Formats: sequence, C-alpha cells, structure tokens
Amino acid sequence: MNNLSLSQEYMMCALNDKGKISTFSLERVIAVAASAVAELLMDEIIELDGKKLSVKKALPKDMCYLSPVYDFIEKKGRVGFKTVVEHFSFTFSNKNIEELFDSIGESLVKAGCAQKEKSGILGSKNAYVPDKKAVDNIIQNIRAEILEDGDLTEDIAALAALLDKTDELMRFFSAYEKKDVKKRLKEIKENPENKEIAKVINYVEELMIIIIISAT
Amino acid sequence: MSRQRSMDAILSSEYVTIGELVRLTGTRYSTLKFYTEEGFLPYYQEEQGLTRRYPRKETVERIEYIKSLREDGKTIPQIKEILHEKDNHS
Repeated sequence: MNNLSLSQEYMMCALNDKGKISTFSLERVIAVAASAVAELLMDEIIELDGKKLSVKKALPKDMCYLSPVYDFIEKKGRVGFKTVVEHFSFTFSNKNIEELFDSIGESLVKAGCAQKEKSGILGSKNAYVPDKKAVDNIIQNIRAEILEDGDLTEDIAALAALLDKTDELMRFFSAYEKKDVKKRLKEIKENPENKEIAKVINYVEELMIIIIISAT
Repeated sequence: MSRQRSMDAILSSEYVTIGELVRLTGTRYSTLKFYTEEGFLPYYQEEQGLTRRYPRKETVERIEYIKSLREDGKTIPQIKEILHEKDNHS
C-alpha cells in the first residue's frame, strides 16, 4: 500500500535486480531526470515558460528527494529543460546523476520499497534493490488504468510514456498489451482535453530525440 | 485529465476504481478483472466506456473474503456458489 510518486515509480521500474540502472542505458538515466522534472511540473512546483523552466513555489518536505533538481533550477533562475536533464545525466559516473539517484533511492528505502546495498569497486557506490512485489504493484496499477475503459490519470500516462520511450514496456507487458498501451498513449496525445499530459509526453519524446542526436 | 489520488483520499472515498483497488489490496489487476467478470465484485458504471466504480469498503472486504476462501482451498466455482448464497441471504 505505497504512495509512490512518478519519479519514484519510474526508478523502481528502471532498476535492475542488482539495484542499479544499467550504464549502457543512457535513455533510462535520462528518463530518471526527466521523470523528476515532469513530477515537479505536474505538481506545479516549477513552471515551463516556452522552453525555460523556473521555480514557482517552495519544494514540499515530502518531495525532498527531488531537491537536487529543484535546487539546480532555483540556482539558475530560468533554465532550459534540456540543460536540466543534461546536468543530471549523460555519464552515470557523474556526481550530479548519482546525487539524484541516491536521493530518490533513499526515498524508496524509506518507503519500504527497496533495499540499500553497496556496489562498485570497494563498495563506493550505492545500489537500491527494488522489492519485486512493489514493482509488480506499480505495473498492475498501469494495467488497471490503461487496459480499462474510462479515465486515465496524468501520473500513469506519464509513467507509461517514460517506460515506452525507454523501451521498458517489453519487460513488463506482453506484445498484445504493449499494442494497447501504445494505442492509448496516442489517443491521449491527440485528445485536446488532455493538453497538460500531452505536454508531459511531448517533453519525454523531445528528450529522447535530443539524446539520440547527442549520442551520435 | 486528473491526477492519481493519494492513499488518504482513496481511503476516505466511497467509490474507487479498479486501479485504486490494486493499490488498496495489493491484488493483481488480472485477478480483479477476472473477479469482476465473474460477478464477484459489484460495480457501478455510468455509461459503457466510462470508468467502473466499486464501493470501497464492501469491495475490499469481499476481496479479503475471497482470498480467505482461496486459502481454505476453495475452487472458483465453489467460491461463486458461496458468494451467490451469501448475497441472496443478505
């Protein structure tokens, strides 16, 4: 019965059995940063004016795991979406992404959804082994909203979009279900009533294009 | 498009969605969908294509009851019969 947020749920799904995000998957590292920005936007803690992000109100205490991203935006004043995500990604050895990884990871431990372990040479890094039952709960919740008729929440649509763009849907969904998820995401984007969530999905898609261009 | 409700909001709500039942009971979506299709979990739906809403308290209790029957080794047809009799006597 956990109350996890978008960035916490995405990280739970992105972590492997050893509690790490594969260094070969740059998309997943970037998606962690993107999920943090998306969560701050959806909770109206920050705002997006054109392509620039800025702080709108103070970060609530219960969202302190996003303080690395919030503090960076606050320090910069107005900063591009791409700049924020780049700052917290691209190299996993980078201390910025480790800071965010540890911050969200610790919140998962506190929520009882992951176990902290030491990893790396001489145990210098932290790993957060996700509880399998908690990951399954997250996936069941996505299934329950996406594969059912009726309302879909912004949180689930954003999470499904992140999993889709980082090619993780196939880890959790059958080929048949994956088709439904993709169809539903397309419908959401094309429905004018869903402007806000379409914005979030577009951020994610734009980011992934930026990554591909930057990596080539 | 709305936001996902907090657990506090769900716990104080009269009706919940199937996704919220997943979060409340830790039961798999496919199981809840099966129970719904079998008629084990009564729900309310304004129109075809709209979200199904389940009465929270009664449905959570019923899911726990079905779980206990499963633990006692009852089969799905037996559970169906037990629930049918229970509903007819209440």
